[in-house]
Amino acid sequence: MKKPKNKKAQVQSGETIIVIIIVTIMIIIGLVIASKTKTRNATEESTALNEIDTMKIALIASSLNELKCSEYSAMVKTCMDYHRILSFRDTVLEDKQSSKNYYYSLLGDSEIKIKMIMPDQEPSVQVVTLYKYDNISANKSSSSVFIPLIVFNTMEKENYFSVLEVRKYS
Amino acid sequence: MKNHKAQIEVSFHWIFILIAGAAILAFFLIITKHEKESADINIEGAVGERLEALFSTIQQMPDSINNETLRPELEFRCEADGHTYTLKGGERRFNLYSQVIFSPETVGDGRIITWTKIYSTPFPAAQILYLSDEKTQYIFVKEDAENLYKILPELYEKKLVPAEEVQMQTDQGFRKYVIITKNDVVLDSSMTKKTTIVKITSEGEINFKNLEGTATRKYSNQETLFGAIITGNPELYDCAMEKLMLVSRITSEINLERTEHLEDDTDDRCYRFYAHGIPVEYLQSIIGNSTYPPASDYAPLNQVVTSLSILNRDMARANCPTIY
Amino acid sequence: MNKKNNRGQMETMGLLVIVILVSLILFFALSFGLKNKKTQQTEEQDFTEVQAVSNLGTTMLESTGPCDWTIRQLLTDCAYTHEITCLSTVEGVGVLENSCVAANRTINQMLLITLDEWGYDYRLYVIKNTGLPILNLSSGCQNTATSKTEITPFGTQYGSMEIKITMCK
Repeated sequence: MKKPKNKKAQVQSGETIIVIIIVTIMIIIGLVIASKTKTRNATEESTALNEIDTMKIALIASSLNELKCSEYSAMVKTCMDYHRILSFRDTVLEDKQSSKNYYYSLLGDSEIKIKMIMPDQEPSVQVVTLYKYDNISANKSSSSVFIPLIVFNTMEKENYFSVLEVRKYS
Repeated sequence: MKNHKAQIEVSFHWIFILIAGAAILAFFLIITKHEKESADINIEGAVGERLEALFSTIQQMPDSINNETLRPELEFRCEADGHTYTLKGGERRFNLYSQVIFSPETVGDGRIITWTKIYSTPFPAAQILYLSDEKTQYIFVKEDAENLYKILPELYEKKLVPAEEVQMQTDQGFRKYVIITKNDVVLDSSMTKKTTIVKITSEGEINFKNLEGTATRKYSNQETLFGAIITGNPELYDCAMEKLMLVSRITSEINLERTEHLEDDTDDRCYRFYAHGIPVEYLQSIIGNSTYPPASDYAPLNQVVTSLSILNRDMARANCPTIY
Repeated sequence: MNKKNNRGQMETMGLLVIVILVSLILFFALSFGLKNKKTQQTEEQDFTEVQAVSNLGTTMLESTGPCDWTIRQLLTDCAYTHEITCLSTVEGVGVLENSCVAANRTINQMLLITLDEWGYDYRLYVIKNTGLPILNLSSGCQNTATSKTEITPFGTQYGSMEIKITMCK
């Protein structure tokens, strides 16, 4: 008489234990999947934010008053002055008027170059690095934006076809 | 015996269920609390990033006026660590390192208004953003500041009142009032706590007067005068002016270098404009006088700005490379 | 005894059914959740493409080419008047070019530092008012399904012209 009762109790306890084990396994699997999804979403979001940041810096760089053409010259939507570009580069390089800190706060961890086609000159393509933040290393990932524009040389009265390259490091 | 055993068994079942239930409930409560805190931090960060992008890009659209709704309140401060803003109730501080923004102490929880203007010396030197909201009212005294009233965009909460009616103004529920006048005014008691009087004492000088006291400041031109009006706060005015003058000096330095290059390369026909180093001298004077606070006032700066503007115009007429 | 065994079996079956149901629900929820992640172009690529294509035509036209002629002037001459001859410097050597050759070479140079460098294939046509292309530059744009075309019209005293640039990846 005792044996059937013991067996029944054992089966019941076994059933409870199996239910608990299965539920625990399902919860663990759920948590693992949720955390992996969250990590992947966070990485994607971070990449998207970085790209938006790059575009923001590109817009700021292409609209800087310090680089824009004078009011009496070429009427093109995005136009930079050749001599202002060179002066900007020298001013920031030499940190005149504490410009390095100011432009770091504006342009961040980025590198800004202008590539210009200068006709009838050798070499015909000139590259000027306007701004480069100090801690660039080969290991850092980056995203770039390119904006075609005109660089006007007020002395030669020439418009150079140019490309503004903005590279943001993360 | 069997009954007792069954009763104990049932009691144990209930205890077991209660403990398990409590554990599961506690687990989910912890998860929820953690997620909520994480969400709050994310929101603060997201709003901050969005505002930073908004401030940066709006400043690239000169002479534009915009409004949009901003639910959270922003609190602006000018302290030792710089010009910062926080979301009301938040802990994270966002630093306005490079943006020249004139705003009152608190902005938000409703419609915000942005107005961008270029500060020129006489070339475009910096972009200024005037940021305010529908809860700040600007009261212009008709006899003293009607011209300023007309220039301030319609989107701002503004009012033009005759001098004798200023003391009759009562609190209409705005967060802050800024009264613009050239004379002393008497206020109704309901207004004194929320009001700052911006008194234009002379050309180039203003007084900020509120419950905390009176502060005298200098302004260089109409753009900076509007800066004082929009902020209605001397400390915030100081922060924005320091940045404005810094940016102005940097832009002037770049133009100075450029002018030195042009001076070396210019042809004989145009050399007369560069003779005796006049443009270089003007630019050096602009750099020297673009300080905050100024040595005395901004009259020397304004004088040299006018001279450079005339020289540049003459260069353009002669079809010579211009300074700006 | 049989009734008790049956009851035990039924309970086990019930448990199995619940486990299977929950697994199915999880499976479908995950698969629907992951399904909506389409391959999208990044915001940066969209922005670069818009900026590149919309600015390229106008910027090219206003640029100065060899012998201080603008590209606009060279293209107009190439299409209508054929009067310009230019002694250009090409790799340090003086070369006599007509407006069509000078425009072709210069536009090619511009495309080298833009679309070629950005990894885009393209087709560029400069078309005069008769519809005939006077200039045709291509880097083999095969896949027209994912292409973007920008047309930059410009007026000349002889008639209208346009630059048509098709970019594809």
